[in-house]
Amino acid sequence: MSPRLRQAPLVLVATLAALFLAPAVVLPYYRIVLAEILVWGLFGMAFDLLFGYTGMLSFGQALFFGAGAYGAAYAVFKLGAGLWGALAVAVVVATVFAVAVGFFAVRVSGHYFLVLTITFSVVIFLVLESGHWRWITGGYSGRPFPAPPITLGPLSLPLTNSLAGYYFVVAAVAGAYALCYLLLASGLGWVFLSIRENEPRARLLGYNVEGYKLLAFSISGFFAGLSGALYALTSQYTNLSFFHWTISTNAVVWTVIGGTGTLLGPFLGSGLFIAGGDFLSAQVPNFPIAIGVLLLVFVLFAPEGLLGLLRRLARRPTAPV
Amino acid sequence: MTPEAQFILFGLNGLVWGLIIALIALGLSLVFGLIEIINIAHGDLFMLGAVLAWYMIQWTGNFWVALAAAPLAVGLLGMLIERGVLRPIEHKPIITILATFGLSLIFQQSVLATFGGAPQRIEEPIGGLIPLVGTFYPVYRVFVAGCALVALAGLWLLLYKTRYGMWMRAVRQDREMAVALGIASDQVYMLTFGLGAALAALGGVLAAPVTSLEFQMGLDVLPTAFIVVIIGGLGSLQGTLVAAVLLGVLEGLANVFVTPTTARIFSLLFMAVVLLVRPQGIFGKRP
Amino acid sequence: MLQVADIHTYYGKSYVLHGVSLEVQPGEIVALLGRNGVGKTTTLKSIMGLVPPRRGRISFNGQELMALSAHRVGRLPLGYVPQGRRIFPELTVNENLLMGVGPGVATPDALERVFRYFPILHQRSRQRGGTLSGGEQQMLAIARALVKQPTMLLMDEPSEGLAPLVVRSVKQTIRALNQEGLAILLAEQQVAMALDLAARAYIMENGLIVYAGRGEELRRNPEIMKRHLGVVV
Repeated sequence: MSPRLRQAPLVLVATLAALFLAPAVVLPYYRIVLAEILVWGLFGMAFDLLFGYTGMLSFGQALFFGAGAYGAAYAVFKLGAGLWGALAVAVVVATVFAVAVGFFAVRVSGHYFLVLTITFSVVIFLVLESGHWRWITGGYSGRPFPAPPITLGPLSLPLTNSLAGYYFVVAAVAGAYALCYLLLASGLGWVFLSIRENEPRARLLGYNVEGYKLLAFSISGFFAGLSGALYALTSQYTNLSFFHWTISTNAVVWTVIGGTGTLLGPFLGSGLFIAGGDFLSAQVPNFPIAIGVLLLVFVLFAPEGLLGLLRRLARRPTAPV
Repeated sequence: MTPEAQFILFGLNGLVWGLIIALIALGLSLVFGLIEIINIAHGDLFMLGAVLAWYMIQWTGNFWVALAAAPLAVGLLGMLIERGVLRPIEHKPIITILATFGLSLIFQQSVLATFGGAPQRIEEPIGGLIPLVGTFYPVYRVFVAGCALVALAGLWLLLYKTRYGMWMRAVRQDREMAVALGIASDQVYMLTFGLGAALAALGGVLAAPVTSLEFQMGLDVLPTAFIVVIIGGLGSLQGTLVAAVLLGVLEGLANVFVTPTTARIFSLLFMAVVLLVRPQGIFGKRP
Repeated sequence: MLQVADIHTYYGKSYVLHGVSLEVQPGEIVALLGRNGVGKTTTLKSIMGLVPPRRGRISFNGQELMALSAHRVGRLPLGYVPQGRRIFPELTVNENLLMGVGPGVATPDALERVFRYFPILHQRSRQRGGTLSGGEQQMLAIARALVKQPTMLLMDEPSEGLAPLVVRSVKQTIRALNQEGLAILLAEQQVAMALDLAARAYIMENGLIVYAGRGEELRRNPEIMKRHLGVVV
């Protein structure tokens, strides 16, 4: 069965075009904001893959974000790697981490799973904070590191504070999105959705539910790690707070409000909060409280988020992507 | 101080802390046993108890008023939350967890906006030391232990010696059957949630003079409460109590040898193991 | 006494009762027969308001039950002995019985009467419900329903999972209760037992009543029994 497209191709093309043309229209400062929105949106997308598609609520994705960030830092500092090397190391580290944690975590579900993911996150954070693992964390926390240039064949372009850097992020995130889209459209999406909808039935149908959950968890970790690496490289710093579970909860807020199970929703969410955040926190006196209220409102009345709501109104067919 | 004295001292501190955790964890367990949701805002109810106590002390200068009133106020808040926010979504567990997360954000940010970000302290309402094992121990901490024990005894009496407590236990075991026998289970849900909240807040008021008050103090307490409830067994109140006291004492004693962080790491890892190997905890029933 | 008129009940999206009508007169035992899954339990739960019907009417002693919330139905003199007993496993026998009083006042002789019927429960009064044998649990479930002195009982498969000897004793209990004036609507899969007790019987199939008549009439028409119940007794 060929999966029918749920994202209107027009929307995707329009968004991509807008992103490409943006630097021509806006000040360089906004390039940085856009890049940040994209990177965090990618992190949200990683969460959405796990939660919106497979129905696994986890507050532990910060682990893999941090792993990616620190993996990239380690590659640059200790291995003298270039951009591609750093990214490769980062995603490998994050994915290995995800497989290791996921191997245990997927054996339980629901609230036990949630508590377990929070636990792992807290444990790792505490362990790293305690300073016993200086060889990974000591050198890099807070210390700005030299962002390696973008090397494409003979070309070497600066990564930070540059047009090339902006386009690199756009390309990287778009590529990650495309990869995720393809993975889900390949039939994996259906399996994940069926696990979310009715896990016992999926099991009865013969699916190795734990295996698929582990797959979802690992893929999610991969993308989370990528986003962490991109963030570290473009903002040129890493920090232990990247591992704290409250980072994970940002992804939760963006995804629930932006749109669960949509892949694009988290980008909408991160866009609203990061871009809108500056503006709104000046207007609305207690903006953080408003965020909580907004989340509550969405959870109670529109848990599928803005995009999900739009989809429901447009009555799109229920295909995985 | 002799090593033995130090040991006993740390152990006692652990015991006191364990009793406070028992109050908080029992609140969490009561609610979970009934509604089967993990209330992420539970730690913040603890925080609200402490912060409200601070405000009440500012207004009245009296700790005892705060001790009585703050848990009641938070208990009422708990009832409002159950009735207003959670009731419509109670049958959807993941949505409920997210809703409690939203509430947690709201509580923390509201307190940050009003109370401020700077940690505050409350003075111990009962000063003085009593001589103990060759050294001195704060009277207040003894009071805390006593107060917690009284609260726990009160909870036990309520659950096992009153009709309403019997209804609460019945609704926990078989809601539909309780309804068929004429029990208004909705009301029981609301009151149970309120009771759980009040217990957490009581823990907060008692803990306030011995810890620093700030808007995120719930974040530290919540994982501990989880640990205790899961190790003790979700749905088993005795298990939760035993686990809380054991954990408190063990962590307290461990502090003699390792840093608090390390002790915490081991407790968390132990909980993870229990979750994986025996999810119903030590005392819980097989789900 | 009990009148159920054309109720349609859904379990979520599942359309279970397609228009069920029956009635029970004071002092009668009426059997509700049918294979597994035809909707007998759903019918009883609909009457109790646990699975409210979307359409239809139910009245008990002239009172409209569908206008009441489930826990208010539970306070009427209508006793419910559910399938599977469903006694509270962690509560003691005594406490289980006290639950039978509901929010009302527990008169001292309420338990007395029940203990006279089921002396073994008196012996076990401090034991936790979950530790009782199947037959004892069935006794407890019935006793619990009797504590508030109902005028009618709804019983759902009281013989299920019980040894024949125990079933016989349950049967005797039901007969004795009926002789004291209790009306009983008895949903059962054990056709022989039900017909021994009941004057009238309804047979359900696919969420509808397909036969209504006197017990002897049914016995005289084994082909009806065979067609709807798959057994002949």
